Amino acid sequence: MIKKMSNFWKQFSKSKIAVLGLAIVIAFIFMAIAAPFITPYDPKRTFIAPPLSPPNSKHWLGTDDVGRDILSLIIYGSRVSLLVGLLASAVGTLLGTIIGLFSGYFGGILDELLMRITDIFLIVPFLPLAIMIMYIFGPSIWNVVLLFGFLGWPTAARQIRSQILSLKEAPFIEAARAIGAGDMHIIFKHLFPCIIGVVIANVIGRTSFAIMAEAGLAFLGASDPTVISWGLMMAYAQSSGAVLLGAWWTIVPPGFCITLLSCGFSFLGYGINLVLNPRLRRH
Amino acid sequence: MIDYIMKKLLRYVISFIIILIVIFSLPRMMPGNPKDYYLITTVHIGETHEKLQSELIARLGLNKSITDQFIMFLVNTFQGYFGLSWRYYPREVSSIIIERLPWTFFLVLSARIISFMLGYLLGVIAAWKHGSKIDILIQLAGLVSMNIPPFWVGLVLLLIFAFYIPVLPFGGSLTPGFQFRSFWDFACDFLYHAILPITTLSIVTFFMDALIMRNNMIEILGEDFITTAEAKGLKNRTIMFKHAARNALLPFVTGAFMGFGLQITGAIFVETVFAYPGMGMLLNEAILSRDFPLIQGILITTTIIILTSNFIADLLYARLDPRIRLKT
Repeated sequence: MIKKMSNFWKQFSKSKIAVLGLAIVIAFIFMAIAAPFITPYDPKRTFIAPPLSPPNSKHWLGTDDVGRDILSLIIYGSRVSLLVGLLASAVGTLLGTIIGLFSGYFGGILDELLMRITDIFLIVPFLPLAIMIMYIFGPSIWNVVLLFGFLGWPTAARQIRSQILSLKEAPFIEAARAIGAGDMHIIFKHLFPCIIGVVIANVIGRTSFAIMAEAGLAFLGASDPTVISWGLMMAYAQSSGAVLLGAWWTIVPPGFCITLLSCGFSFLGYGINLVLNPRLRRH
Repeated sequence: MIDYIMKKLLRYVISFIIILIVIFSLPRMMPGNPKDYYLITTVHIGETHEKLQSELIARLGLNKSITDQFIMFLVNTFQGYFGLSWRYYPREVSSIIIERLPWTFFLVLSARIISFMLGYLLGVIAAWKHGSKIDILIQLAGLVSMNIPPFWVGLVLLLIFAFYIPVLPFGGSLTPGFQFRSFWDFACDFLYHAILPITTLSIVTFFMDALIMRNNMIEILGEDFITTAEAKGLKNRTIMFKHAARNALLPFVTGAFMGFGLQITGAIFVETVFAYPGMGMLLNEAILSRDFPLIQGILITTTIIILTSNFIADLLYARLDPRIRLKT
């Protein structure tokens, strides 16, 4: 196991981008966990300084339109992005993996049906549908997680399915069947361990999408208005006319953090894929 | 080819109907009576509640059976009737959407063309200099640009070009209250307001376009006919643009049409940032005023646009690819 890990690291660390991604993600995770200890002010307290005061020695990133400390908001905002990003992609990948496993393994009508459903999911305009669903089920952060998970499974299902299609013809599966192993046993004991790498890469890779989508929903005012998030910060900046006042400190930091964290996960996913798919490495 | 088109068309029609079923059933899946749900925010409209209630129930057919309701919903949708807007009461949702649609189309189409042309050029260059610094930079930019929120790009551009260097307007589509003396005046003002929104929309996608073009090119460059062209002693430029790029263009063109749908989503954010009076800003208004019929109407309209653009992409593919065109 340790040898496997060190081998993985050896391949992984060859790519500078992958290491950079890992560093970004770890830094943000640290920020999210340590938030109560490293925030200079209570992020929810308003008017601790004049509204929209520019960055100064007491407030490194200035204050927003109701006088909250932007640095503290940014630090707490990382919690929402990480939580929604990772959970949503985990839910989506879990659903996709189960569906992909069964539809790839059993084939036939079930497979045909599931693939048609994924076709439809891939066509539907994601954002308006998400907005309508949020409208109906209420804008809470857990609904955002469930929603992205539910709308995100088709891509994962397709990937897993295509892996299973080629794996199930492998000799060791035939051998397992020959000694009388049942379908469930083959699926969970033999096939699943083979694709666990793809599953992990999927969770990581999809996280950046979920982070972006959450920020987008929050910016449009369709996400949870009670939870501090980077998207919501930008929505407030937009509605308070920060651009007209040149209050760049309310606009630049949240967007930069969204981009950075989202890039971090993208790079990390790219690196993991690079290790798992030797074919990619040649190019 | 007709066979191919019919098959695709059937798939899109089925997809559309299934999406309609989902849209129909979502509000009806809520606990309680859907009628309460439809009525929940109508109080501020000013009409008497009872009168409105009975009118809405009749319009939505909420007193009928579920199958009748669905048939009514289908008939209404195909006739382009999405109900009355709550925000713009008593206007019809479809008439508001039609009014806003051209603005969005203009933005998206211009951005698509710019992004397409620049992406094409950049992709060819990247593939040509495969493995060089430029290539790596373009690849990196492609990866990063997928992770930049379009609304942030818009706000930052506004800060730079409207606040710090005040050369462009903060938003809107035309200068309010301005008397246009000629069409030329109007066109200038119109374009002047569209520069930043179009730039924002293009920035987000054109590196992605470049990446797609690059990958297609590199695949083509490994083919035998490229080696033949090289062996004939053709100039590099000729090989790149006449032999490789033309073949790589095929999946790129269809990809560009598929990207149309993606860009409509981008337009929702960009219009919100620039207060550009298209469908995206309408959606934002609808969210803020909790205007359910309007949200539903916009969802159906965008679905139709995306399905249509995907279908056009399929048609183009069939037209451009002789392997499909010549198959009877």
